[in-house]
Amino acid sequence: MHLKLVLATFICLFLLLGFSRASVANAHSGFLRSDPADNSILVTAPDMINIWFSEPIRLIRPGVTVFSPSGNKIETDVPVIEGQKVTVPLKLTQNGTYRVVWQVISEDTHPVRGSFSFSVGNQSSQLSGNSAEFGSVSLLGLGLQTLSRWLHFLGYALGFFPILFGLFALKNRTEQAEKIIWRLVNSGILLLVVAEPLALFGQSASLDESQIFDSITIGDILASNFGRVLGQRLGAALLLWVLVSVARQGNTAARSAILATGIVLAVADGQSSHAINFGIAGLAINTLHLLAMGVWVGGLFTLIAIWRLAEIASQRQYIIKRFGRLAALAVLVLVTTGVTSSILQTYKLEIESNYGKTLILKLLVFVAAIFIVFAGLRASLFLRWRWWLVEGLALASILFIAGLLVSLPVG
Amino acid sequence: MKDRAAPPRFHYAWVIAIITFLTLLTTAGIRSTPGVLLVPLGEDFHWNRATVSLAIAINLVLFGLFGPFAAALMDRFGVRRVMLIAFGTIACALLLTTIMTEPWQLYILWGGMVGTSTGATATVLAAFVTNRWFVKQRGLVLGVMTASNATGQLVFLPLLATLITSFGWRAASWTTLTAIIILFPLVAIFMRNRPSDKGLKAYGAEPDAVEPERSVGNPFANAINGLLRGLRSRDFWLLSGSFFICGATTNGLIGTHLIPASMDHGISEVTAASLLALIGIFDIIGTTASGWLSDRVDNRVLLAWYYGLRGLSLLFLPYALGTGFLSLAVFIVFYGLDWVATVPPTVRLTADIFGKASAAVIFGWIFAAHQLGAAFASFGAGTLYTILGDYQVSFLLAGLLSLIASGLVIRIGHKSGKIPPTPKEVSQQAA
Repeated sequence: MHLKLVLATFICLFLLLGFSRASVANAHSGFLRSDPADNSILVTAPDMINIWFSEPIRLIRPGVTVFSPSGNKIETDVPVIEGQKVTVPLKLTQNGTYRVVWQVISEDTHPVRGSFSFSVGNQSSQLSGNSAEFGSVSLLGLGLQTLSRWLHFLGYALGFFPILFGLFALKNRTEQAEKIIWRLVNSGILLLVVAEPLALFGQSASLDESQIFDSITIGDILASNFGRVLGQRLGAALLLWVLVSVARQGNTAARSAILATGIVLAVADGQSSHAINFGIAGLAINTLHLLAMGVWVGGLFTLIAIWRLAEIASQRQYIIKRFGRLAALAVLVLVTTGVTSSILQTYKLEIESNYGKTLILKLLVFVAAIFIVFAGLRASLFLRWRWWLVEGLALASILFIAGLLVSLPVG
Repeated sequence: MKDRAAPPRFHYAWVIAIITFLTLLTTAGIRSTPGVLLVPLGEDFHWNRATVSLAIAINLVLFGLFGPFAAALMDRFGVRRVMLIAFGTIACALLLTTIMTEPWQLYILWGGMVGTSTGATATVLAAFVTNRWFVKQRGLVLGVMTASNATGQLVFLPLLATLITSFGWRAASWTTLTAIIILFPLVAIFMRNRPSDKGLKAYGAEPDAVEPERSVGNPFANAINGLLRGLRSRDFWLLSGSFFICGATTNGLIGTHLIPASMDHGISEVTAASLLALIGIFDIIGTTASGWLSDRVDNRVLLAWYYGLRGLSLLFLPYALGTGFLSLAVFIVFYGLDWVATVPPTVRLTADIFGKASAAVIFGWIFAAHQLGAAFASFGAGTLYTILGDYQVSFLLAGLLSLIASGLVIRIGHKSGKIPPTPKEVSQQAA
């Protein structure tokens, strides 16, 4: 018994080590400044272009492209990256306005693309009117990223938490109920896996919609920090698959391993989310938020799935009582962590921004979900299942909004 | 009166085990020489890297593919005869390499002759001998023998490297030739085909156990039949699929590419090579322990653990390479421990499912899958590196494959119901 505990702790630490990241930032990589500066007019041609970003970055091919006043692409030397600065040596011969287009991927795994222009000698008429872009996110990219996060959250809840429901809220787990639980878990695994390619295409599309399937762009994204996180998320899904296979053969230790993996994944996810400017406290807040979400959403979906089984009918009161307690605790944690997280972010946040509006929407749907719970409890036993179904839809919507929140730039 | 006679001091099976161990050691040493020969051969003959690599590739493929045929030959003609013929072939090839002049000679001698002969004296031989001569301690003996792979490399490589620098590359051929010449009489005198040749039963066998029949018929046909039988079995696909992934994640990826990957991250070649050697040391511990465990624990659970930990280590490797020496050392320890540890449980499962008589041939094919996986990963990672300029994607893919292997091995024996209970389960049932 001791040996198993030691082994389990060891594995957990190992997993944590593997899934943790060196440093995380909380915003899309910001373009700081360039030399030559945007819209500047220089007397002599520069022999190099420097661009500074707010975090260390990696180039995504073609990296930095320079267009001559006549609109042709100019051959440059290989760019040199030192942490946050990119230097491109080059030789310019013409007078006029040059345009520089860059695309990079930063530590926090968001790829960004932008451009600026400068002139040598005089401004050329056709290009001088263009304003610089400092990194935007395309709509398709945002949509795909939101979809991918939504599926990830759903998959997380369905993959890890029906087992908790089975252990905690069911008096006796019949064979039918077990089958349904495992089916839910398997669909969770499927969702977790499908979410990742969508995330990848979300990243490539957010650079430019035409680049969504470009193999070089995708290759460079996979070789970055993002690729690492993607690999680990897929790894977690596969690990869950393996543990489920072992658990279905009757091994009870595997169930504990599944729950442990769920906790580790919450920690890993917590690190990649926005509000971790505040060190360990921020990480704990995010992790607890995710875990509570998993308990509530995963438990409710399991309840919906098994509610109408004949052999469960006799247990319904017991289930409501037990799961009710669990869900109440989860909701409490969700509210506490959610409020704290929002307060911590309002220092940089404007309510008027997209992020702020989405956050308020999430809060409203959350309140609606709570109301639905009470309405469901008051309804007669016969109608309750429909209320739980509506509740499930509300929770799924919250997850979608949460997916959007995570994909939007802050502020 | 006969009952009163003292029992033999030790079972002859241990003599067989020692001889086989020494053979495997020498084979491993021979197989490790290409690494040290690549550069000297290129310099001496002005052959480029691709030319010599082709000979190595032929060697690798034949090494794997010949295994099942070698097992069939051992079944038909006896282990001793096959070993002696293999030694003779290797000796001839090594002798001839000292006077070769053209690349095609390297392909035939090193690729063809050494490839096939070492295929007959490597893992397949270990599996064959342990299945014949041991019932008790089978896993442990197999574990030690498989560990000899790493021991052989550790023993021969420094020696060969020193000799080559002092005396030129032909010294490598002469050294390995000498080793074969020493082994030859040992095998000729002491090796026996089966326990009944010495009037014994296998070590630890029940008194009324029956030995598998000597096989008759064409060895080539037997080998092919073994393959056909395997292809029809779900467990064979699970075993060879997981072993394919094993080869891909060990020799194919890490064995070939860890050194260049480390150098990309600022680690010197010498340090990187010593890290690889460190894997060899942990490998010995891990494989022996694995052999011991496979006698006691459900082998599928063991394999699931190995592949699972290996997968997680590989997902961790891109971080380890970026963050410095300590993390890399942790990776090396984990990786080293289960480098070849997958062999004893896989051999054991093959024997349990397919029966001892056919086990060696079928394991030969499963091992061929291992080599194909190694070739696939070696080439694949190289290609990805050319396109992306980085090994990260290769390491991540390998980690995910390894986790898939973990899920595959858990499913072995379920549809067929062929896994016998472990010794622990048997004693629990009896209690």
